[in-house]
Amino acid sequence: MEPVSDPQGAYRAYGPALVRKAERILRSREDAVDVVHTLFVDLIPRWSRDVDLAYLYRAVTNRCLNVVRDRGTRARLLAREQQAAAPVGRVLLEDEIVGVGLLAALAERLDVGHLEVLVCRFVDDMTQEEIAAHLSLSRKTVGKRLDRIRAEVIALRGEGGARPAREGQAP
Amino acid sequence: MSACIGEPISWLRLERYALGGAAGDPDAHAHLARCAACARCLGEIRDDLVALPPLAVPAPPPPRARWWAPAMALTAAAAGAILVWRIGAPGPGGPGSSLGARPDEPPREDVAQVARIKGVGEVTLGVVRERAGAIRHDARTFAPGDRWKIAVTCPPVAATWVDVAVYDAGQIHHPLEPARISCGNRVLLPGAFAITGDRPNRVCVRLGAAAAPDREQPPDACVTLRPE
Repeated sequence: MEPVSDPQGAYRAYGPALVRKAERILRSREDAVDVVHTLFVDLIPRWSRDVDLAYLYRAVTNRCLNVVRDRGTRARLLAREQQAAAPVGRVLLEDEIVGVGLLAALAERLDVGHLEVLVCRFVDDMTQEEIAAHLSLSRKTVGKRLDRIRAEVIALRGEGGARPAREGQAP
Repeated sequence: MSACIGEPISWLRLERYALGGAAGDPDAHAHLARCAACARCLGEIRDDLVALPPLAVPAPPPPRARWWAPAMALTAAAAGAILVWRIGAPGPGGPGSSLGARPDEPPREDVAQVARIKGVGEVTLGVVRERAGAIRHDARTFAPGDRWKIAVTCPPVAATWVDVAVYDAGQIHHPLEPARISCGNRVLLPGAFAITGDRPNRVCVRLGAAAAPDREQPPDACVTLRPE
C-alpha cells in the first residue's frame, strides 16, 4: 500500500475505510461521515507525512469515543442504534457485540486508554499483538487492560439496572 | 454468519488488504481463502460505497517572485482579457454561456454542483436537510415539513457572495438573503427554507467574489431535489 502524502489524497484513499470504522462504533453512517470529515478539516493545518491509515484509525477511535461520551449525542445514537442492522460480530466481549450502549456504560467506568484497547479488540477485531503495536503498548499492558474491561462488564451485569441493552448475539 | 475459523483478520488489516491487494499480506490471503466469516467482512468492504462530502484544502503559498514574474503577469492578464471577451460574446450556448438562460427560466440540467469562480476557486454547493430532528447531508428528496439549509465548500483562504434561488415549476424563489461567507468546509448560510410541491425543484446558487451576484446571470451551481 503506497503512503499518501497529502490530505486530499489521504481523504480519498482512506476516507471510506475510516467511515466504516467510525460507523462500527457509532452505528450511524451520517455521524461517521461527520467524524471523518471533521477529522480531516482539523488535520489539514498540521498535516505531516507521518499521517497514515493506522494514525487516522486511532484518531477516529478517539473522535468516536468523544462522541459517545457526549451525553446529548449519545442519546440520539442510542435511539438510532435500535433501528440499525445488527453488525458483524467476530470478537465478542463476554458474549456480547460492543455497541453504543455498552460503550457508553463502560465510558463511565474506564479511562481513554482502556477504551482504546476495548475498541481495538472488540470493534476492530485486532489481536493483542496488533493492539500492542497499534497503540505502542506492551503486550502485557494490553492483556491487563482487557482483563479490567472484562471485569467491568461483569460488574455492570451484576448491577443489573446499569447493564446496557444487548446489541447482538454471537452466531 | 459462520464464526471465524481461528483468530479473525482485523478490520484494519482487511482494509489494508482491500487497498493493497493480496501481495502485501499473504497470511491474510491464506486465511481469507478458508474463512467464510472474514471473507464476508472483506466482501462488505469491497461492496461498500461511501459518499464523502468534499474536502477543501487551502492552496499552498505562492512561490517567491522571480525576475520573469512581471512578464508572466502581463501574459496572464492578456489571456484573461481574451477569455472574458470570449465568454461575454454571444455564442452557441456552451458551458458557461448565458445564451437563452433568462433569469426566469429554469437552469440547464447540466449546471453542476461544483463551480469554479474567479477570485474564489472551486465552490461546491451542498444542501442539508432537517427532518424531525434528523440532519442529513446526503439527502436529495423532500417531503412536507422538511427544513433545508445551504452548505458551501470553498478554499479556506477565500470569501464568496452566495445568492440562493429555488426553481419550482417555472417559478423562482429567493428564500434567503444574499450572504457573504468566509470559505471553508461545508459553511452554512444563515437561514433555512422549506420546499413544497410535487415536482422536482432545482436549488441553485449564484456566486460572486467581490459583490452580491446579479440575479440576471445564470446560476453557477445547482442540485436537484425530488419529492418523495
